[in-house]
Amino acid sequence: MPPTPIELLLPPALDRQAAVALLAERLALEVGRARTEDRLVLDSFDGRLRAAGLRAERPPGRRTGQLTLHEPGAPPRRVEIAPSKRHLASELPPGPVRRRLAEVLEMRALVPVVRLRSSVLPLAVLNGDAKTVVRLVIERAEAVAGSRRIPLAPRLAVEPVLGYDDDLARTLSVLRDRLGLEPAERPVSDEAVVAVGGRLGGVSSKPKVALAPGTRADAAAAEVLAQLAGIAEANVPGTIADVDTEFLHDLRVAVRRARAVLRELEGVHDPQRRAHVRDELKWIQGVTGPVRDLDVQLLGWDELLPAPAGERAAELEPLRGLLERRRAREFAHLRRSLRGARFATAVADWRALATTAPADTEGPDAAVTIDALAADRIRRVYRRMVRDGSAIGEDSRPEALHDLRKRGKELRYLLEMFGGLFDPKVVKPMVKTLKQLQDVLGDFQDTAVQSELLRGLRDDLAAERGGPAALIALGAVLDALAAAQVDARDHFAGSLATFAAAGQRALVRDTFPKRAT
Amino acid sequence: MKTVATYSIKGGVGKTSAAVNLGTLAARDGLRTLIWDLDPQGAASFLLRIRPKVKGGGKGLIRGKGDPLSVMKGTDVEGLDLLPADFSYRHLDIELDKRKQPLQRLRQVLDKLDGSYDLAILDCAPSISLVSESVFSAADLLLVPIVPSTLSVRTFEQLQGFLAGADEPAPAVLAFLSMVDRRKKLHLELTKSLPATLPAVAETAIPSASVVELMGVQRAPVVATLPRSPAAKAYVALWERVRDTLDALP
Repeated sequence: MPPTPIELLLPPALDRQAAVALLAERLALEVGRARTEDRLVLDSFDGRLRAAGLRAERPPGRRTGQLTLHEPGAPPRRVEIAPSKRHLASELPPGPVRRRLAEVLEMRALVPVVRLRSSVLPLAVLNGDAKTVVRLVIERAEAVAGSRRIPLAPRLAVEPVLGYDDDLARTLSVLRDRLGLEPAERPVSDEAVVAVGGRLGGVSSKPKVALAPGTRADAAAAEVLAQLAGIAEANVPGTIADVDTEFLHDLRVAVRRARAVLRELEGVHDPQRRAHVRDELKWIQGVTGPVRDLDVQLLGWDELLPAPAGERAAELEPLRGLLERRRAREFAHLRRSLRGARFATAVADWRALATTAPADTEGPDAAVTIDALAADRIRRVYRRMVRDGSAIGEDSRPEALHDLRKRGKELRYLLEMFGGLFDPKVVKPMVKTLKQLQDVLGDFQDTAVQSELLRGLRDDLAAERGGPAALIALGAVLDALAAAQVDARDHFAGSLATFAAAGQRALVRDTFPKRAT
Repeated sequence: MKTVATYSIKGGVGKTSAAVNLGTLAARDGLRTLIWDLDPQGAASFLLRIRPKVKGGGKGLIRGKGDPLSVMKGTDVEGLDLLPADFSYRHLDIELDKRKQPLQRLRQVLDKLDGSYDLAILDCAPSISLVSESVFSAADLLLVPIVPSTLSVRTFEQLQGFLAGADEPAPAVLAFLSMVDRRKKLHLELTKSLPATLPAVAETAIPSASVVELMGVQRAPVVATLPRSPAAKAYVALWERVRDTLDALP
């Protein structure tokens, strides 16, 4: 497939006619028909399309229209869409656009990122057979933000044609060397995002903390907690608007990570304020939990139906209806909570704890270096996981595996947030083996939670239309879940053995020293 | 990737015109489309202004050597690429006959392009030979132009009989009337009666039109140069039928 188009900047004073004349002096050109384009550039909140090199657009306004998907090396693909503030791949008509978007977006929705209005003139560079060997597009665009129109630098996009590399090189040589055109720093859609003050690449749910060894623990905690509060706040509007399920998920992950920071760096903050914020974060987890549990059921609906239950999908439809209605009810509670005063105060207190000046902190570990504190915690949590995991046998209660998974999450957050302070040759494989173990424990616990939730619905399901048939099908689902749980448990010993291998234990001992007391 | 082959035992019946115009319409629909010009005369390559030569030789591809993507050429239609004709294809039968699993050879080349394209259109030379059988083996849909004459209809029925009796799984078949001259009574009669009596015949008929003949002069698909002409509209209707047929295939 041809590479991504190259964009060059045209001198702002050069109008379209003059630009064509200038190019035509040096290249055999065919001039196409000029057109005006007005479109909303779409992406997921976390910028998945941009990261994958794709661009989706639709006309602005509330009209029914076409969503256009641009991908390097492929013709623009279009699909009819109904007017909506957001578009989920699963709601698009079947076909290549839906398939491609589903691969990249998964459960995330497309939302408008920026509006662009352009005048566009396509040109073709021809060879001796009058064959197009390079495509050029002159674009004069403006970013639109409400009533503001922000003109962007005019540019010339150079689009390669497959199999005509020599012609492309010649054309680029003319444009760059002889006409002196400079490459644009970024694509026009990115330029528009920057012009309206947007964030390129969307909002990541992962904090990006670059801590230096020797940083005071209170300063490190402040940096991480502030970023996490920012991520949580950024995800609130999308959660309340129910744009897609990942807003709530990312909000919850930010809260969970913040709780982990407060737990792991216990001696850093004033104990009373820390306890208050921890309680409030726990409350947020509590009020957001039921909707997330139901989202997990509905997102995994297709996987919920392993054979032979898969053949009974139609019989299980009343169950899906029940889950959807229950979610709607729980979501109304959630929305009220997120709009309420307690949530606003909780986040404000979280931020205040993060931004407290280091000199004001009263915790005994505030001035300890973050590397010393984090190493000690990583070492301790790892050792405890090895100890607890090794004690789990065939007769152990499921709670033992659940507890081990919680410890695993603790270790994972520690490595995500503070792993950058240590040797990546140790941290990377450690994260990998931990992830493998967590996947097995996750499978085990997810099936347990799923079984419990579904069992709890049986009475309500019986009262539904088609309930008896759905109950019988649910029995098959529960059997399959029980079998999956046995499978996960069978894999546990192998995953733990890798995680707790002697070599791994030695590396942890050497890399994460015990804190001097 | 789905594969359509425009095929006929007879020459000059509108195979290449169909391949080029349907390829253009498929690309406009957003399908990453390739045309493989299997005809040593290179008519599709000529119409798309691409020189009929495969770098390193077309035989190499059949022998499983080289990456077909490296010899593809982009056409003037965005999203439509061409695997050009090569004069060595005149001996394709002999080449296939020398190889193990000759009927799988074309499929194996196409498999290398799967993932890069959504649709492949094979433009075949007129014949019934080992190449044809390889095409039947590679294609999901055989698109057969029929000139409105009694003999052509008989030939089409023979082809259906051949496919029904073949050992290999046969592709779906869709025929369409081509080069229809509305001034001729027989043409008009067959245009009405054939789709009604043979379900594998599309209702759309491609007219015998000077604009289609002019494609050879303009070297561009009629759906691009004269989109409002009756011929272009007929290709649009035919493409819609082909697309629906492909969508219905497993």
